[in-house]
Amino acid sequence: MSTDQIKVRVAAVAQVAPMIREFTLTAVTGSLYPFSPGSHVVVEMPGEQKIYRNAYSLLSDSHDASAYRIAVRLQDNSRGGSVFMHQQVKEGDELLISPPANLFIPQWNAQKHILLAAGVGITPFMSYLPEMQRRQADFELHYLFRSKQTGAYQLELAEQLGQRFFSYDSDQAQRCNISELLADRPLGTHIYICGPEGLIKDVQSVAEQLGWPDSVIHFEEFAAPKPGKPFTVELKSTGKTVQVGESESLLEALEEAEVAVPNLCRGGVCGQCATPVAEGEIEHRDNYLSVDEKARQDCVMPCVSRAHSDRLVLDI
Amino acid sequence: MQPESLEAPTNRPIYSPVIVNNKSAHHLFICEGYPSREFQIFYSSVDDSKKTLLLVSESDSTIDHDSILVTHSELTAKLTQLLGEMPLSTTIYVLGSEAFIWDVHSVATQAGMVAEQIKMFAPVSGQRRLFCTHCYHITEDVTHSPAVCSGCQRNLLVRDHFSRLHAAYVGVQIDAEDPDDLPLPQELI
Repeated sequence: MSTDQIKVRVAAVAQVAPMIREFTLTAVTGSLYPFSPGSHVVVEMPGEQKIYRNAYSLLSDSHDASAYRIAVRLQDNSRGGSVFMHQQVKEGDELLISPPANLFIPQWNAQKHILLAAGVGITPFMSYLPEMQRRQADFELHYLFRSKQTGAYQLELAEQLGQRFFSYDSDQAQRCNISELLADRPLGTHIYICGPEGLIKDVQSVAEQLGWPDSVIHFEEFAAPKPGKPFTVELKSTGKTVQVGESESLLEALEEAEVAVPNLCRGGVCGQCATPVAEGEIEHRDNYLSVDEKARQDCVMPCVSRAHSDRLVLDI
Repeated sequence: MQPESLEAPTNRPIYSPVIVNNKSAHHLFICEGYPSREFQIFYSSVDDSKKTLLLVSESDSTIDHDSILVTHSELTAKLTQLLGEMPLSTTIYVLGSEAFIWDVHSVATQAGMVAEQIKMFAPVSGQRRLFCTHCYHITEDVTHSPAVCSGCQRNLLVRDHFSRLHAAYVGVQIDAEDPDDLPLPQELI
């Protein structure tokens, strides 16, 4: 994790919605890596108690890597990361971030792209839009938000995108009907969702009824690991034990104890942190392992998953 | 892709049994040449209002008055046009030579379809399309290895390495070091 990190300076901080703050990051030395639409970076946040690491989508045009922009929503049940970004980080501060990685790439052979964003889920699409416009791709953006909390960039998007832009402000009782949104779509349509699990599930269920193939549905879920009951984890090779607290993830507890686990998305999507399990009952919370793989109870995604049992033995 | 056995590692597509996807709103059947009895029965099992039959042949024969008949050279344009009018919930079922079914796969993918929408029957013959790694020329209907490249006339070993992009097997010159050392041709399976 540490060798690859880039040191960046916070060049600007802007409030872009009541609960969302945007940060512009520039390189302290040299230049930033180029990136592709849909990329994210993992920001390291040295809190007082512990180090937080959260993934944030890059908002800017992928043709311009002179600065990275990210937007952070202050989470209602923040584990500390978003509070840190909102309360501690000021212009001129330095932060450590990972190089960009991309787990949410546009499918360029699609005939039609439907982008479905909820709240701060607009962020990955901010880097899609310039490239889609350059390629003259056929797309529509459906943006669900609550204007008392979120809804960042809605005015500029409405102006730039015109007829391609559809907004649904639930604070004004505007609802998006998923069945209508998906009905009568031609072959070659792909949909991209960034939002809460419930929205993704709704789309998947309507799409299944309509007979859509699974692979035309692409999603990125808001990925903060949810808390759970504390448990003890043991390393089979050394017998070392680590306590995993209620509000920290297994991955974070291992990192704290200086057990290195390769990782990338920190949200249960990419599969990088897959770790073999020798004993104990796993509570799977990831979107990476298949149903069969989960049932085998021999592999865990420590970035989001936890233990049902009081003790989990990792085969490392 | 799994090798067929440890003795003969290959990089060839594996064709699973094809079943009708009942969730699909529309079914497009594509057949090269005259449809086999098995394919006709399979085609008949789907409700008439939800299906289209596209036959690709150089001769003028149809089995069904509703079928669309095109020649190989017309295939790409006709298939692209048909797919443009079909719903997202469409499944393709394709029968023909291996090069043909992967040509269909390529056109369908270009139209934005995903792999799980394209069901391929096992190829009807062992004939292979051969891609020459030296001159990039394509030689059709190869039945033996080594085979002579129709572009540069080199003697090519036909490898069990399939390129989905070219819908062809990769061919590499086999007698480059010693022109007198050319193995006897063996029939491809």
